[in-house]
Amino acid sequence: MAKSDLLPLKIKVPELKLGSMSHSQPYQANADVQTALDLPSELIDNWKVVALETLGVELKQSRALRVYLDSCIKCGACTDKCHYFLGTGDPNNMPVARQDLLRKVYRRYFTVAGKLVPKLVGAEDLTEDVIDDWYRYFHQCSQCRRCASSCPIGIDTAEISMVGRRILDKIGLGQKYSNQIISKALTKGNNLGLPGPALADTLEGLEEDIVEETGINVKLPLDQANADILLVTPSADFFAEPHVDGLIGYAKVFHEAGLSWTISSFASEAANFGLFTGNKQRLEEMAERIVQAANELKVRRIVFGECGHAWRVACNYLPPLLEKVSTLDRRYPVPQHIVEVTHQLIEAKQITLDASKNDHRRITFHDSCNVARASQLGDVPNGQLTIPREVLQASCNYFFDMAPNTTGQNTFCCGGGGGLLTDELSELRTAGAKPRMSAFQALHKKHGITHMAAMCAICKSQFAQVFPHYGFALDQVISVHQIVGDALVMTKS
Amino acid sequence: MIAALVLLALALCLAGIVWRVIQFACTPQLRHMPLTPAPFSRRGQLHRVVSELFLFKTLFRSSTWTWVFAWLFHVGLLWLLLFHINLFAQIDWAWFAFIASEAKFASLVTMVGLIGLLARRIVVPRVRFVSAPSDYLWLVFLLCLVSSGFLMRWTNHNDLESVRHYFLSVVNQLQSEFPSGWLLIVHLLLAAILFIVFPFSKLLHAPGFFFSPSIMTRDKKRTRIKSAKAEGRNSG
Repeated sequence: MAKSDLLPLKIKVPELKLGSMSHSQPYQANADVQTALDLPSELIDNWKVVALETLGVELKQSRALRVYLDSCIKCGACTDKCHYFLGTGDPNNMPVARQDLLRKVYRRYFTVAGKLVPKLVGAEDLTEDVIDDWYRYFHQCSQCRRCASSCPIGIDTAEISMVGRRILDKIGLGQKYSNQIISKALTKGNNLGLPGPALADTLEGLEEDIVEETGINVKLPLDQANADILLVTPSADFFAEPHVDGLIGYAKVFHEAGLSWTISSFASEAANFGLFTGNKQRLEEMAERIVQAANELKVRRIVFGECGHAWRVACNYLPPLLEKVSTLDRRYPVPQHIVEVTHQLIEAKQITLDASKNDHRRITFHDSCNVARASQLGDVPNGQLTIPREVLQASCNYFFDMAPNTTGQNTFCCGGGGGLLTDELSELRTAGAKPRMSAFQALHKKHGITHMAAMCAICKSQFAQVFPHYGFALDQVISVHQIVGDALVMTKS
Repeated sequence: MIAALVLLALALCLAGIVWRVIQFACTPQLRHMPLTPAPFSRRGQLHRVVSELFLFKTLFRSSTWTWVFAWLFHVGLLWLLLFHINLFAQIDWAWFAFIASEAKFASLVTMVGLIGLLARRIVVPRVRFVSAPSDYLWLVFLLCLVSSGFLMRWTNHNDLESVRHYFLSVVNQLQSEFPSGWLLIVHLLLAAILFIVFPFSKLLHAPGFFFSPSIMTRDKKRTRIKSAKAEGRNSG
């Protein structure tokens, strides 16, 4: 990994401001959205029974949950690690306090001590107030695992907030943004609800743009059976800025390397919001769409585009499901990441990069939380940290890393992950981006950084929105593959 | 009588720990969820677990002051545990004699750790916010337990020989006289309470560590064949 020449960033730990974010909560899902997912649309009458039952079932099914709820010693090591706490000072945004919102109920109803002496051990009855706190503060967690990697026992608040959201879903308090997206992905194939013909149009438009820009006939194929590679990419790549330039970058790489590839209109989404809401059934249904598309198109490889949590799902859930795809070439990792593909092509000298084409840029890299702490790249530990940097350093001459306590395993979330990338949470997201922005500002001051490269659709959207709050322009966030695409020497017509 | 109580409590404690371990072990973990970057090899994983277990590596990185006190406390505790083998057996190895003779020092180390942890809990507002009454109580309780033991050794309250004799007699169901001393009574009663409550408390975090999927799972490779070579063979 490229060494940063910066000292560790001095992270200012705020004073506790109890309740300072208690007004922040996402919109509740309405009846249409909830019924589409077979969930109740308002707080059900027997919510308490169902909530405790759901928790009981989750406890039986998840060793992680049981261990995490049982084993916290309240050492406090995590208390200054969450970007939302650092940005807002609300003590309920300290990871252990967030966990305790669920843990106090677990203790009250599921442990001997909590049943006998609740006050002594901090156990509490499940009341509507507690439910309200759950709805607020489990939606102020981006499930980035920074707390987990600071915990001596590895307690992962992400797991707890996923279960918390699952319980809320079951008693009728779904989150509108995530659940709406899940139902769109399950019916239309992508989070935007973009139908096949519209997608075809969009891709054609992009092909024309590339011809105009480079004079080269780079194709973005859709539903092309027997292609070698199925590209599964977040649907933001199809139209959002700066994402779309990343997609163009993938297409250029495939074109130049002579690889045959396709996008599927049926599984035109890499993102999987079922992870965020702890909805395993929907998560698997969405993952199954990829399996089905791979089977129908008879592809030999599956490659994921730049998306953090999608890559986590791809690493943690997808491999067993993909056993069902007989056409896959097992000599390649299943599934594979676009950055890995590019990295290997560079190493094998099958593509040539002219780094000087990026000389107008001074670039740093933002490690996306789900890539850095929840998945892998290549076949060495740390590959997810080194491989993207190697690709970037091959593509540009001015690459600098941010302070070491804010990158790699210690990376700060962009502030918009975990299903929080919705407008009503803007205040939270802007505050949560503060630690990352401080690191970026420090590097900018020292090296005149012009661009922050990211390989996650959520990070890109989030930064494009919060950069202006911190004195940067929204187009200073950039896709890794835009940088690659710009440096790529195109030799084929 | 008191020794019988302590031994019974100890048996309950062990049973409680076994029950808790069985409960963890029998709960499935369906999803592979290593906290990455994680080692791929068994050896790497062993290294990770050992450095967490003995050096508290993550805690060192994330909160150095907590690490100082927590580590001192646990090292002192381990030392004291070894020291208590004296109650049931006389071991003549040199290293053990050292451990046995320096129990006072071990108690001090443990107490420094406990006081540091307690101070942090009181002084740092963030930690105070997340502390329940039991979190303070445990630290105070353990301080009482350890200091009662420390005072016994400090004042040569009673000699080890007679206490060992007494415990062995109880284990072997022989008649014996309780070695006099109020400190010993206090110490043993506190120990009995500790043993009984231990399996139901947060003090039982050690088994949790061994079953924590984020730390205890190593990463799995997605392919068995070197992918760079496959790339070379297949494309172009």
